[in-house]
Amino acid sequence: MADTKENPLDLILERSSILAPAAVFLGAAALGAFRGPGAAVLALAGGTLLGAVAGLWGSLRILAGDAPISLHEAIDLGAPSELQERKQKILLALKDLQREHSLGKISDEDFKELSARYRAEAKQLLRDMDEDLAPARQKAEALLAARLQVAPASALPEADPSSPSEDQPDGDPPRREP
Amino acid sequence: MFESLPEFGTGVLYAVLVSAAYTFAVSLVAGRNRSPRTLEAARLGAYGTIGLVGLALLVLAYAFVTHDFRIRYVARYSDRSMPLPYLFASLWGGQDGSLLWWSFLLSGYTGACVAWMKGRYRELQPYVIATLMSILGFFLVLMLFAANPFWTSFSGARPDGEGLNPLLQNFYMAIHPPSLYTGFVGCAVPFAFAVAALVTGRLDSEWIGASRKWMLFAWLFLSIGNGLGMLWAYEELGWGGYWAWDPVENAACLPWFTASAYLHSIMVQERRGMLKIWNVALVCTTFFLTIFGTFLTRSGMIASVHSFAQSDIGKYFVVYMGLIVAASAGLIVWRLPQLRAEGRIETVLSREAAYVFNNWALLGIATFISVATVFPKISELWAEPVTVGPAFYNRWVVPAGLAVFALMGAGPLFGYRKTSRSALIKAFRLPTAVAVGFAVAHLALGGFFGFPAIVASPEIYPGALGTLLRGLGSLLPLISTFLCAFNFAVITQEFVRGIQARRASQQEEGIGEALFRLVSKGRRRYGGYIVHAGIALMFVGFTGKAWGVDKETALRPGETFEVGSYRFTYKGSRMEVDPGKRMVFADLQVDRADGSSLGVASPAKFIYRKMPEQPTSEVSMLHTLRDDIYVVLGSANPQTKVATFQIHINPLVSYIWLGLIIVIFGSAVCLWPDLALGESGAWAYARAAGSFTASIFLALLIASTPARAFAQGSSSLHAGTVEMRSSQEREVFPMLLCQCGACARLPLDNCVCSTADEERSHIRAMMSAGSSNQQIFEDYVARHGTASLAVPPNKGKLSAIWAVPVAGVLMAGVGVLMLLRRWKNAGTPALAGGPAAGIPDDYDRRLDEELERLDG
Repeated sequence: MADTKENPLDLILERSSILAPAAVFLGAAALGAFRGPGAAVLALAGGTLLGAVAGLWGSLRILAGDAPISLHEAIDLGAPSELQERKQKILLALKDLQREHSLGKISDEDFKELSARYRAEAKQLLRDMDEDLAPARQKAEALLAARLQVAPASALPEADPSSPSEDQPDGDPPRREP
Repeated sequence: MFESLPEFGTGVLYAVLVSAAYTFAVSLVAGRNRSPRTLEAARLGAYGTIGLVGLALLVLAYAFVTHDFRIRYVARYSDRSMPLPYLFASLWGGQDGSLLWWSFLLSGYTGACVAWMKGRYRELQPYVIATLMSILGFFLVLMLFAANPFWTSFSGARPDGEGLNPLLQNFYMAIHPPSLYTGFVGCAVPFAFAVAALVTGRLDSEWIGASRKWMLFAWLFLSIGNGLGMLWAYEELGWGGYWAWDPVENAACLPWFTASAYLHSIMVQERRGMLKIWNVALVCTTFFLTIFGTFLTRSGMIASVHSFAQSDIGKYFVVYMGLIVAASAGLIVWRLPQLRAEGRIETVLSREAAYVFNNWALLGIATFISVATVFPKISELWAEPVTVGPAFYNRWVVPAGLAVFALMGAGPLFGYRKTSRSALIKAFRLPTAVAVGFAVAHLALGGFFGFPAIVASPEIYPGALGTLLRGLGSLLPLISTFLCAFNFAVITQEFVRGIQARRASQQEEGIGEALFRLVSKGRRRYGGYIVHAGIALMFVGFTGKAWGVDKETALRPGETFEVGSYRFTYKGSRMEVDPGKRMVFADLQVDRADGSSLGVASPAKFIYRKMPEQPTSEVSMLHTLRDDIYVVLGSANPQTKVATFQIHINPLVSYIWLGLIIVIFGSAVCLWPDLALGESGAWAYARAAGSFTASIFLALLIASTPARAFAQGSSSLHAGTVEMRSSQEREVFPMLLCQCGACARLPLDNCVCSTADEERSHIRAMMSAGSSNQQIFEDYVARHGTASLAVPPNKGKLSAIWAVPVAGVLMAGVGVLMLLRRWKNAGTPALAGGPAAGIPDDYDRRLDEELERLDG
């Protein structure tokens, strides 16, 4: 049950996504200075080819089931709910109203009426969102409590994405490490 | 070592196609099974594909750098004498390479978009990637089967290449196409989001929020690309103008109009959940127009100075454009039930309604230009061949542009949702007073300063329509002055009122701090106002065209010549030589009326080693804030020492470039990312400073290009300035197109080839004999056909060129009014929860906190 962050290969790959391009550019610049522009272009082409192979290889590894994705990445893939979108829209509307009122483009009466209506809707949405989140929050708290009972807090590892538990990212079957 | 480089290049293109197809398939699976793992595989596949495209471009770059003339494209667009920067510029200098460049830029966008989407838009991501891969796939198919940049020459490697056209060997060629392409290709990302939203049914504001900055970025580069194109034409082509309404220029500006419309109309969807169908359609149309523009440049369908060599790739584009239309329309129809408006409009006196009118006007102009651009092709099918020249566009499109300009000024005066009548009157009062004041001053004093408010305007049609258009044309300077003043007053008023409102609530803030916080808290709004100010400044520059002066003269050394308020003294000619060419310069001392020196203008003739039979004219310019002194050397006789000059006084042109710089700055303000939670005030200052620095850098780059381009030197072929000796010549020459065959679309007031010279002599003889304009036109048509006219005759089916778009725009206007009426009559929607009442609770506090953080 190893964390992906602890896998040296993945660690190298992750760091190399930043370091490798920089190294290729520096190498190409150095070659260009000493051997001419042709060599610099060749060095860049070589580095680009390696990058392309790394990307496609990584893609095939994931499809073949050889590489897991981290819980962090899975959580990152979350999408905003419809309620969040509606809330954003109403917040924008309220912001506009405040600005237009401060600039004198809307009368006090209209501002009070429209502002009250939009605030009421926004608050209702906040309540709905809280209610929606309540079961998930309770579940998360229960999981955390269960985890804390198993191991002291100081010994807790980072989130384990490959754990065959309920926190497995959706859509994928639980995956066991050899 | 690299004997198989061409085959390797082609192999890489095949690998890109396979990789793109793989990523496309994996993305679709990821979208269907919603598996994060499959999505990650698709993301990595996209990165791999991008890398392969980069490799293909680098292989071609290597071939250029090492002069691998086995490759046909390299042999055709480079030679051994070309400096390194132009070798790289050759990558997009010809058709095959420009398609690879298109693919490369699309890959860059795809990479940036995939990286940016990490952690968000999970539902949309797979389809965004799939759409981008499908677009890439089209260009790969095009290259592999119709325009492969790695194809070898049948005759084997040549000892040297043909070299890049001298016309293209200048600084602008190095940066203008990449800028424009960056804008064109950037429109693919919002299109991908729109397709993803349609496929997934997530048609709320999520995809709008995701695509907005991508579209703004593309819009910015469309602006820069078109602006640089104008600079290139102005500085290099030598005809004294910056926009010739060439079909390819038109195609480049069409997506700019639709993208501008989209950037305004999305604000209505974000706030009110309205215009959903419209926004999706606008994005699809914008992307379609970018492909259409690419098609126009490459198919040779319509005569253009920009066209690449004619080839058969046009049919691929036609099929692809058909697919885009079918897929977009099909998806929109499929999702129609979910695209219905959620909100209602409270009153027509609102910002939302103003945006709808703004969209109507922008799309109206785009429609007009589109119809006129393709009309020559349409007329071939059902009437007779015609050509549409600058005279037509200037007469029809400029007034329409001023209508959009008026709406641009009025829009900010309306508030969202509802503007009370008293507030509206108050908002309009000052800008209108300022505009009227400027207009009256212009009428009274304009002539005294050399800028008359009413100018002579040629008649493009006989009859009432021609008289109407002529009258409107005469008044354009006055109308433009009124609208420029109105726009500047509105923007100033908005800033002043914003600062006042801010200082009323934050009394400790000084004016500078209040301005900074006002802009940083409302970057989108105030960045938009800055963009508006830039566009208004550009209109000042456009208006200057009405007061231009053209003169032609022959001088011996020591002789002087006066044009307007400037005196020109010919000092003599000199010759310089470099490895590629001989250069003959003629130095003219330019002084103001008060005797002070403005500088020395040194127009030149370049005789290229590879094209000695085609000496090229090099423009020399002296810039002031009021005028550009634009001098072209016609000829310099080494025996008699007599030199002929074409001198052009172009008022206010500098304001166009200054306006472009402000547009860039305003766009940078809009584009700057939203503040994330927990960011400190210091960081906000640092980012603001970064934004300012970045935009100033870009702006300085633009500002410095004229000088650099001049230093680089380039060539003009047939375009030039022609002296027009009488008002009749001013009316007639712009209406007739040169028929030499090499410059199909240049009117006789711009073409300086020998054919045009002969035609002008013939026409001047007719004028001396007392022929009327109409008789001269009839004679010209009798000799060269209807297509030799710059404005298609207003008769029979040919009237459709203006009647169809005008009818369409008017009908759309009626439709807009009916739509607004329907929205208004639908009443105010009931809101959940009813009016808030009672004691503020924890939700009020949370709401206030979120509002404080919100940037709008």
